[in-house]
Amino acid sequence: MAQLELNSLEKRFGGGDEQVEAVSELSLSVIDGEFLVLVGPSGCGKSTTLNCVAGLESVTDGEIRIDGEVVNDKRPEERNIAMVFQSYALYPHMTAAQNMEFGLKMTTGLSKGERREKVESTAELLDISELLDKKPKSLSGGQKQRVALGRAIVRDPAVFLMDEPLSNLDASLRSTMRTEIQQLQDDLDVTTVYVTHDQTEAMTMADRIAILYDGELQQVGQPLECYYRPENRFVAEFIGEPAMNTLPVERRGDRLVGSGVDFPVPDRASGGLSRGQFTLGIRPEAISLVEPNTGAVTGAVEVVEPLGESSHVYVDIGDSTVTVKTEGPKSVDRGQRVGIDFPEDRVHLFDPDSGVAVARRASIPNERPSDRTALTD
Amino acid sequence: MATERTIEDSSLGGRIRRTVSRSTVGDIVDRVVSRPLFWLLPAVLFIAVFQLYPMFEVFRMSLTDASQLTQGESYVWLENYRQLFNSERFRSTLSVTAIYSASSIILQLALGLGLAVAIDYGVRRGLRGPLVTRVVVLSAWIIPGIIIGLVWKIMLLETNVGVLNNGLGQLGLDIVPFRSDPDMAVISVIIAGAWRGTAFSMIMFYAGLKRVPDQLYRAAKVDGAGPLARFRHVTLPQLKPVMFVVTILVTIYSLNSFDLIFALTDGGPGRATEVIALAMYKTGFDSYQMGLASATAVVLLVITLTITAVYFVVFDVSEEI
Repeated sequence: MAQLELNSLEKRFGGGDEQVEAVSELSLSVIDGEFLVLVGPSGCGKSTTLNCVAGLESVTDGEIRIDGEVVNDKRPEERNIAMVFQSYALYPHMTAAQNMEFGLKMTTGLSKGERREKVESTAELLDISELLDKKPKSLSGGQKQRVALGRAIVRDPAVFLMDEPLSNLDASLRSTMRTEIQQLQDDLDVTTVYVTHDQTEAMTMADRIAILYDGELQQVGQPLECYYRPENRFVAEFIGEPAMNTLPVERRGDRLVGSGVDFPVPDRASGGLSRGQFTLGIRPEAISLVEPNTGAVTGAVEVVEPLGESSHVYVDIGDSTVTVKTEGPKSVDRGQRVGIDFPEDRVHLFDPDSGVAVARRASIPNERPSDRTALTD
Repeated sequence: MATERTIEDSSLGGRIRRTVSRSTVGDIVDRVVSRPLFWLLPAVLFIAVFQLYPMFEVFRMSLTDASQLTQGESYVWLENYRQLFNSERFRSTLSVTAIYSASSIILQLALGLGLAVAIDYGVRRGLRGPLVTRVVVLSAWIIPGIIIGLVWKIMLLETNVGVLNNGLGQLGLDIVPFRSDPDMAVISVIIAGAWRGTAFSMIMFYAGLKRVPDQLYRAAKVDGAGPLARFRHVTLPQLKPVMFVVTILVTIYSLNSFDLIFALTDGGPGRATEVIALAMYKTGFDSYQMGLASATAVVLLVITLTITAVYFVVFDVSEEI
């Protein structure tokens, strides 16, 4: 159990003209027992950050502290961390038990019997006791991942680092393992940093998520905070499935006008908004289809994706396409003209250049409709 | 079935018959090419004509008194083998071959692995030009052994002209009898052989090392394994299949070494560097005793097969094959 702090962490690769900045000025603090998910698209620096924490990459600048102690120059095994890798990274020539035991053998003075005991109790926890004598080759993807988790857990580390541990599993197994990892982390109460590019994983598993883009921290907060109150356009579009709709608009008087869009400036935002260009953001699940010419915009249905309980409807509104998530099975047809209603309290406004949110929710709704109205700048 | 079709329209008859016969030929071709045996046939024929038959012929000849000096031959059965095992020359040849092969195998495996690990280590840390390095090293292997033998002969000449002796002379040292002293000659032959063979094992080991996933090393680092422990617990086990193949091939090459030694020392001084393949050649083409030479060849084959079988047990590669 430990607290992990990153202070102005920087990592650059290469030198001279070819230098690439993978992580810049990243400051984060993970409290004892917390499950923090680092999420972002490929190449955003999340795995590099994790490798720096693990000691597998050197740090260019800044510091990493585990329980207050700077560990920048410490070797991986001196940092009291354990890591789970994307492709499991199990030693193919060793049995599951030997894989789990290896770290203990290298780092502790435990006797063979003591090591075996630890391995067995961890295997029991993960329900893999019957796999201990098998080699990775004869294990399924899910079983391998359990052994890889076991290898990390058996070391009883201060911090768990997980680098996209579920991305090699099929969809159904992934959701099962998601719950299991969450439960394990809860039971073991070990500080965990989990890297993924999958926003669903991030949303469902994390105590807090840190969204990275281009090596920079975009926002860090509880999953719902990031969903309802994104600090910038990147976070707004990255978190949520399907992605938030964004439309370029211009403020004219008390209206926001864009190609096919004509919408009143949200009440709570009107005071702080200057005139000029904005990007209007609205989530597909926040909007509904209405009769043509009665909502904020009107357009023709391009594609309907029925998903059973809900459908995704793509509506062409001239220069852009708006995604609408509708309840129930297919309710509209391709080519049909429909109106789209934007509830005022769900509209986000972003600065078109910096992407910073200029109008977003004041708070996260907690199931009471009265809380759902606040908008602020 | 196409052949059972009743043809009523006589004007179409010819065309239909042609179609039917064409499809029958097509059927037969289809059936033949779908058999695995058809595709194995070229290889089977090649091996039978150029390898199995000569091998059988050598075995048969080893039971005869065939000679290049006389026409005809008669079966003497195991006489050649009896003569071989009773000859002092053959026993010395066997021991020279054993010393030469064992040293060559150890040197080539150790040096090849060392070089490959060094290059792999460098490449994983951003070293440039691994291809150039490999090509340079490999050039030692693609040069024919007879030329390498001659090159080493010039290097080891026992006058001031010899490259090595010239260098030693510059340092004020005496001339070393690299080729005329029996013990030195064996060492010279071993070193020249290793110099050549190391390139091959290095290339093989390097290919094997490249296949070791980086994540295993990272996992081992997190598990607290230092460089030596990583080599022992990750690299070596991962190299096992390659190690097996390289060991077998190097062993076969070493046991059958001929060209390089032929050019460098011709088995001399005396018979100090006469390995079994060289003895076989001399028996057959200098003494014209083809029967005895064939028996030597059969013994060499049995030795090679036995050692290979031992490797199969020692390496326990049943899982990999």
